[in-house]
Amino acid sequence: MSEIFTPETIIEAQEVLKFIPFFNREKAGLQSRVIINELVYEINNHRILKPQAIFETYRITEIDNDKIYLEGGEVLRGTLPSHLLKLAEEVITLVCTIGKDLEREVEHYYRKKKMVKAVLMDDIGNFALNLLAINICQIVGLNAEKKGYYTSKPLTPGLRGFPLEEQGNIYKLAKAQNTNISLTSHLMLDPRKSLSMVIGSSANPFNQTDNPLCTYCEGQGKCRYNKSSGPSER
Amino acid sequence: MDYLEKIKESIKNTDSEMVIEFTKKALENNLEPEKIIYEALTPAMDYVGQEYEKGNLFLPEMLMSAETLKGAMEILKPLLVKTGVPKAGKVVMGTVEGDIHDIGKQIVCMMLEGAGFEVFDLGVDVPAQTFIEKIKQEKAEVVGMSAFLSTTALQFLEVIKKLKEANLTDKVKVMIGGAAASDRYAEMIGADGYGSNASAAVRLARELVERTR
Repeated sequence: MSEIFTPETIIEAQEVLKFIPFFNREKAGLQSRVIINELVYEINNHRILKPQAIFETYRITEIDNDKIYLEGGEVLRGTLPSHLLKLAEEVITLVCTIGKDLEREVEHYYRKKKMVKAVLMDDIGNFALNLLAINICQIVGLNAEKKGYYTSKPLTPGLRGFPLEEQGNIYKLAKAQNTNISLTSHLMLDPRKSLSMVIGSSANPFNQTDNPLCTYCEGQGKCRYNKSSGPSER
Repeated sequence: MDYLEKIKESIKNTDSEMVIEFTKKALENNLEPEKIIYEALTPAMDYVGQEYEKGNLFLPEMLMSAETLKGAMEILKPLLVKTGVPKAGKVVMGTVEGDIHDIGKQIVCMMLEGAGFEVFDLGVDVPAQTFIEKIKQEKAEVVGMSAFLSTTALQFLEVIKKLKEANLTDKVKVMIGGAAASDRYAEMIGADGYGSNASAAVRLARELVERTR
């Protein structure tokens, strides 16, 4: 039975500064740091984050090279989940969001031609979504632990070997239609600051020394959050 | 005193007050608005863009310089209208149909405006036909499209197809950007170029406008 979580999320400017690679460098401007502090205060004070998450667990009946067969006849497609979750007995489908208010703030700053604030607010949104995903994965992990199960790293559609088209499938499997998150005709999640993922669960531990997930990301080399990559926008 | 150099330094140092003051002083000293733009504002932003592409400056810092430049442009714009100085080019921008990602495209719009382009931002989730109509209406030289996802990047092709149907491919050049785009992808779909970041997009737009003239 799926359950909707609405964890209260308070963010801290210091944590945001650590998350955005730009601020890890010595030369990062004082002006930007001041703006981040102002925006974080605004977000917390006006409760701009409206986090919501939902997940559902399915028993796996069979796994082949590019399909994971689930109880009830559902199928999850992709060579990456088949490979990385080959030891899994269950799969947890999960969708989460920080809500729409933050993107409205980004739009507000853009309309006022305050692009620096718009970009930094968007960065904070990415941080908040990442934080929410970590928190929800921890909840999933604790639930599994109660059964004596281990959990895998989360996998998001769009990684190499995990088609983006599966986002629609995960959305349906997680029963995300019961949340404030919707799916567009082109299988994008709305609000934009939303994520879908799958996590494997098993009585045996997963090999967590596998390559980091960035290895499978199609955006590798372009991502602002990957310290080894060059300049790029989202 | 070399006001052009002072303006350039103010933009590089993101000093909004000084850029306004030096722009006013430059005009008081009979410097032409066009000269201020092409010998101070544009080279300063080019320098900032190059430093960004080299990794010596970061996105917020580049945007701060662009915001600083806007202070000067607000003073110069009305004068340019009077003297009839031509724009660097006309660019229609939009995120393709089915895609709602906005911010990367907005950054490019801002940088293009800073570089003297006239930009028509159609927003997000823009149908192919809307691009075509705006290109025709404004006689744009460049269309810039953004897509974040591989599923929506297919819409680039739809716009290119409609440009061919409307016999516009000689008059308007296509540039693409966003997480789903790449140089290789641009070549594969018949786009005229790919901008990997805002600064590169401005350079590309200049090159493409040259090719249409």
